[in-house]
Amino acid sequence: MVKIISTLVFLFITVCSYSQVSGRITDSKGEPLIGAVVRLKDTDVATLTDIDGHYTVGANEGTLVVSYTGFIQKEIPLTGQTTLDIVMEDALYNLNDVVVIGYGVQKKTELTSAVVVVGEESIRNRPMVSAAEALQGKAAGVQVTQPSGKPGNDFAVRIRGTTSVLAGNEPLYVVDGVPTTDIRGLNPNDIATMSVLKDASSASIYGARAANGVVLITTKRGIAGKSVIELNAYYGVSDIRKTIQTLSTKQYRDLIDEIIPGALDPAATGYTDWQDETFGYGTNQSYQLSFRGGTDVTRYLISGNYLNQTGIAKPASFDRYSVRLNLDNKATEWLNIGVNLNMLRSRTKDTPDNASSGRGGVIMSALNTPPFLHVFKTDGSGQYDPNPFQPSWENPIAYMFGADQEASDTRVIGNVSGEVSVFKGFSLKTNFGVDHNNHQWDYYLDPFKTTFGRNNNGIGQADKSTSSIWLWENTAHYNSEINDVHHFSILAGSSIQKSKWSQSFLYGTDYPDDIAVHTLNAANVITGSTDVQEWSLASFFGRVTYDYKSKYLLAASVRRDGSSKLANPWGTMPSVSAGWRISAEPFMQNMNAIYDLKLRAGWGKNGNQEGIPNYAQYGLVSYYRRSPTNPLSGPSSAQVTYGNPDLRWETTTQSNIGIDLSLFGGRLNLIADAYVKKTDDVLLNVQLSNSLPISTIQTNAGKIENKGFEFSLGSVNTTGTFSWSTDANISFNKNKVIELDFTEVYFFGRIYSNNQDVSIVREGLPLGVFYGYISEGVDPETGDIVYKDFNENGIFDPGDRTIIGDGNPDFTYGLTNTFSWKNFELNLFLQGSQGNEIFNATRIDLEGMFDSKNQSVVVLDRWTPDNRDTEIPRAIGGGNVKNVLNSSRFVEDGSYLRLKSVTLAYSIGNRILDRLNLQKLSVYVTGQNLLTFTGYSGFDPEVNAFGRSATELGIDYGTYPQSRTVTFGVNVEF
Amino acid sequence: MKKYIYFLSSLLFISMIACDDFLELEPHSQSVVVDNTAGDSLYFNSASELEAALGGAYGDFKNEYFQLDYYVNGDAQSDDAYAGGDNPDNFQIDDYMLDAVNRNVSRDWAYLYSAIGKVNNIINNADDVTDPALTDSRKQEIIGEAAFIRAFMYFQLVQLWGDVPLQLLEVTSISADKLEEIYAQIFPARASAAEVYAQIISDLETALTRVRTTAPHKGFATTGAVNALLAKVYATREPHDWAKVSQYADAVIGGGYSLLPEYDQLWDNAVENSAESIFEINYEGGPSDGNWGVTIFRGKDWKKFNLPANDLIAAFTAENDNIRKNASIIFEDVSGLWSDARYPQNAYPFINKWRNFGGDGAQNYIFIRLADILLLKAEALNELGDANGAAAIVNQIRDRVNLAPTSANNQSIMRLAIEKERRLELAFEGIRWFDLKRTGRAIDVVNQAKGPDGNLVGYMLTEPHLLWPVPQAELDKNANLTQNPGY
Repeated sequence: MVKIISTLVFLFITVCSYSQVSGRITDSKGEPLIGAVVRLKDTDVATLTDIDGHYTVGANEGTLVVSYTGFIQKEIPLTGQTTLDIVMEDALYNLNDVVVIGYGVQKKTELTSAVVVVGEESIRNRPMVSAAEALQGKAAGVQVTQPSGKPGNDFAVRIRGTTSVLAGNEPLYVVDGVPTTDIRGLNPNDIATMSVLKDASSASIYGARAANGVVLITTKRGIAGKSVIELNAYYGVSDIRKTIQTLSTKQYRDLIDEIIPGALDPAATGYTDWQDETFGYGTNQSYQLSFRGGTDVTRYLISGNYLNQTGIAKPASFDRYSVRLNLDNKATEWLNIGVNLNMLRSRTKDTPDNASSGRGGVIMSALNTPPFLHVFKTDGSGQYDPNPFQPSWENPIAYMFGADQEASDTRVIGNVSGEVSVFKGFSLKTNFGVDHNNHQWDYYLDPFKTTFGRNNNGIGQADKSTSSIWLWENTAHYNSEINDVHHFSILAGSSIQKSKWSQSFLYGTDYPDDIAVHTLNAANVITGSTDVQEWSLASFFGRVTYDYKSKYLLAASVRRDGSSKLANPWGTMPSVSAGWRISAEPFMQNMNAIYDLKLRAGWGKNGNQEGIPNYAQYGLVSYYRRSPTNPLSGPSSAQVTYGNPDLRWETTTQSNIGIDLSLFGGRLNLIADAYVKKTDDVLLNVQLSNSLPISTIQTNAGKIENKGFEFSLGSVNTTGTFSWSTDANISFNKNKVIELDFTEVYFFGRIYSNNQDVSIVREGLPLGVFYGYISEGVDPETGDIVYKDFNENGIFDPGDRTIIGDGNPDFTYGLTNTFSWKNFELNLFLQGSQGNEIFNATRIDLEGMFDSKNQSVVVLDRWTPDNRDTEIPRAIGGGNVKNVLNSSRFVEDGSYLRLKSVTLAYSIGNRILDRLNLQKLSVYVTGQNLLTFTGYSGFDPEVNAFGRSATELGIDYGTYPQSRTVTFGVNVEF
Repeated sequence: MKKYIYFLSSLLFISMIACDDFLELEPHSQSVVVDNTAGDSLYFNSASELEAALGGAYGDFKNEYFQLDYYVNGDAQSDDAYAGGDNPDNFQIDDYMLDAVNRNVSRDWAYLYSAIGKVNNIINNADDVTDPALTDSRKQEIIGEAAFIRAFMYFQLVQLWGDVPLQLLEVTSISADKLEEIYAQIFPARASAAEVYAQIISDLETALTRVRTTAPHKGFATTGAVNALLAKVYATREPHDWAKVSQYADAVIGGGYSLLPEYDQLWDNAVENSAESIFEINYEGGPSDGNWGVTIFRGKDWKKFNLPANDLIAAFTAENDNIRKNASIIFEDVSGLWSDARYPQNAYPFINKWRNFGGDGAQNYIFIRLADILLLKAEALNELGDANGAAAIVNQIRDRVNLAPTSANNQSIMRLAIEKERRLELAFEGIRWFDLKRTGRAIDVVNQAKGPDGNLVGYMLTEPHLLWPVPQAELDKNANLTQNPGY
């Protein structure tokens, strides 16, 4: 005992006899940093902070260098003090940060390709259904649009432009190693980080499916030794940003008297405000409980979530129950086993949109339904008041609530992986993944309330499908180094994947009176069908990376892919890239402001075949029921597709150069990239003449080019009690069709009311331009629109059509400012699109004045013999639709700047937390889409009636509008 | 350590050897037309494949063209019916204001060619079928029936558009190698109306020697149907060949058909495929075989299409032809539903010839019946100088509906008598517009049509609008097409 004490005393004296400094290292909120590296500059003296953030270093002169992942490295000259507490500042960038890349991770400093990381902070405190939403405005080169505001609706995600017409333009998502094209089931709160692989050299390791970029999603995992129980909840309310004023009954009757004299029942004088009836408040709510923790051997994450969103025009809603289980097990010294399992059930109710008022479109019906109609007939029958002018044109309420319909999906997506460390640096990994989904859609239209229901005496439909995709991947990794100057890694692997989809569909009519019975056993007349579809992919790939002293960086990969969809199944997708870290050169060492500087260049090829039908290479015959013959001879048949024995990969070749610059110890970061993407053998639905029984064929028939620049800037403006950081990004992309085979021009975007195509694909033009006549205003003499004689042949003819607009933006941008003061944090996220135009086809039905549709108040200024000086043409019936041809009259500037989200969060202080026995407690309020600055006259400029279409951009036709939302939330950590 | 490498290698190996089979997936729910790798593969491998394809071609008589547009084109486009409803496309047809982007114009073109493509496959590939289950006589029947269908479709096309592409070859697959060979099918130019008529007649002559005399029902091409169509074609093609009309009409009349005793029996649905019916599309009802077209013309749920015209009602009234008027038109009270400047709300007319409009969808459509052919025979006789012979037939038709014999006694008066008789007898059967066109009377008659108060309706039909515009979307796709004058 004495001995021990004397030893301690000796040690103490020994230590004291040296000069030393000690203290505590914390973050800006006073939380201790455990395991921070404290080093005396230019010596071997170094230590780590303990569990309370304390350190002691045996020196009191020289310079202390403190580093910790995620914080700005700090250098503090020692001036003889013995205690020195150090507050570290959050860094945007750190030399040791790693980035998830295809089949591995890589240090950010050593990346040679264009990869952008979107972290958890872009998801936190923002109510969102899909992870795609988190990418909007947050990543340069990634353009995300929400074509409609309907709950559960798909987002359109374009990474560096549109490369394909038919094969799809959505990126490939890889969730914890399982590739998928549908991430609607994934709970954004489970996401730890997303890496967007933008260029060919980063993405080509996923060759076959990577032409549109790859988004690697890594979900949160347990942390050894730290148990966390977290509860996140929010509730919000949404409403419509604006409505469009339509005519009163009197104004409507006056108008119809000009179009179809005498068509209105004299007694029809009631008034219903259909938009008021249609639009209401929506809600969104989410409740999530998660458990994370583990030991050195086993780590776990279990999370459960319930999310519910209802739209501003009922019954559209989306809800989702999901459970996630992530397990990591170190079974032996050399074997790691991982399991990711995500199970979910979602239900979707639809509000039909993007269709005319006569075809079930609720939004158009809310605008166009004659105002004299009532919601229900006034005779007490309980029947919806039908529109007497057009077949099956019901009022919007009938479209909304007439049918009872719901889709549900029960999905299991997960994988099991085993990784064997064979010897130092060499490992083998096998990964088996599944994505299994049961989809069900049920529909029932009772035989009483709607015209359509009465005509069929009730309709029932049941659509059930099962999609099952499995994936088996085997990879080998080898990492090594020579003399700590040559570092290299090798990856080789194979992947096979197969999908089988089977569907059964039943359709029944003629139901009993009891409207409680919806199932098809009660339908007197039934037809049905089943369908089975399969596809498979097989791939072999390899990658080599090499660096010399982390200064000269090289990477090369090659992938060979086979697809069952193609007549020529195999394609080879190579890539190379190189980087030069200038900041690591000796001559840069005195330039203290430059923390990191790197030049990158890459080239590679990627394939695409995603969107084409599974059996496009074959000419197919379909079967149709007919009256049975005697003797029986089966159904009737007809060829429905042409075969294409030439079908091959659509290949995108991309070159990228970029620069990564980090200044002031990582406080200011700039990333700039320039790229050229050329897509060859573009898969197209070639439109043949309708003088053939089948008027399209899938074929490789063109070349498309995308060129662009993108910049992102991150800055920590102030630190300390009041801290302020800014992230900004801006993307410029130019799209051009270089070549088209078969015909010089293809048409898309058929507008219902005038039966004309408004989108055109032609050599030398980008995808998504508008085509039509140039309107030169109203002729004061006739009241008709005068169209420009574009071809100068002296007459008005179809040759006068030309390009009248472009749905592509000149640039898109995002700007995020985060302010924090004490326990408050304010986050302002602005996002916008500039220079894109919108073809507002809604106005064709709303200002056209050619039939019995109600119109907007704009038409009150219509041409009449007494009102000749106007921009609004005359009202005219009799099938004269000359004034509503697709023309520049309906093209509007679609540029917008939007306060996409603003969040004010408050974290409860430590003293109260201790009393409540909580680790963390924060509350926030978030407003989404609160402000939108735009000159666009429709409901909202973020719109596309054609959804994710590549060729039809920015067309508004009764599209479900975006809503404004205010949400309150709470995050608790136990 | 080596064993791990073996393990990895074997994994890679397993996945590699499986590959070629792994990527060969053929459809489960549809059939592959021809094996693309074999040049000599057959389009139809068996008798039943050929029968199924013929069934598919007949199925096109139940598409939207034949359920709906057939009557809009034949009646709303004439002085017998107004467009009704509230559809700008139909207004354009009714008012002779068609433009090249009219929805009906573009879909009708596609529907008709879709059927032609299907029968081209049959006509050109039936001979190659070697299946012993296919007797030669049945093979000939199938070719004949397909030829009849093709002629029927081209007859529609040529009457509506005049010169149209003459597609007689089938396209099964499209590849770069074959592009030159199939270019003329993919981007066809228009053939002259004369060539199209020659093809129609050639197809019908092919059909005439091959098809059955009787079939399970009247929805199939039979000798009677082929003869009837030949009579109609010769009465339409310029110059008219009245001797041929007479010859083929005689073949029909002597072919075992007879007029039903009562006119209303044609429409009361008591007897389908009656002795008077020559070509009748048979519907069994239900979702896969329902005639929803009738609900577009009849019913009080919304303002229907093909509103009977005042001018036609006046013609029935002037003739005191109550039997055919009541069989053709029914007046109902639509107070509180809608109104129309041309009729009082309490007596608003609907077409009354298809009466199964609210039920199972099993309403048949009669496209050709004996009365039509009899009156064509009368027309032929009159044009050949036999006004008395013509009068006898006209009186046979009038007698059934208790009308006095015609007073027409010379060729020119008889022409008008036959025109009027066809109008009243065949009202709303999709025939009037094409009758007016083929007799060259369309402009004179239509522009004189009278509205509710005896004033002119105000149609301004001009020569160019006797033909439809080629759909603009077709012109845009196919540089080899030309537009009709006036559009």
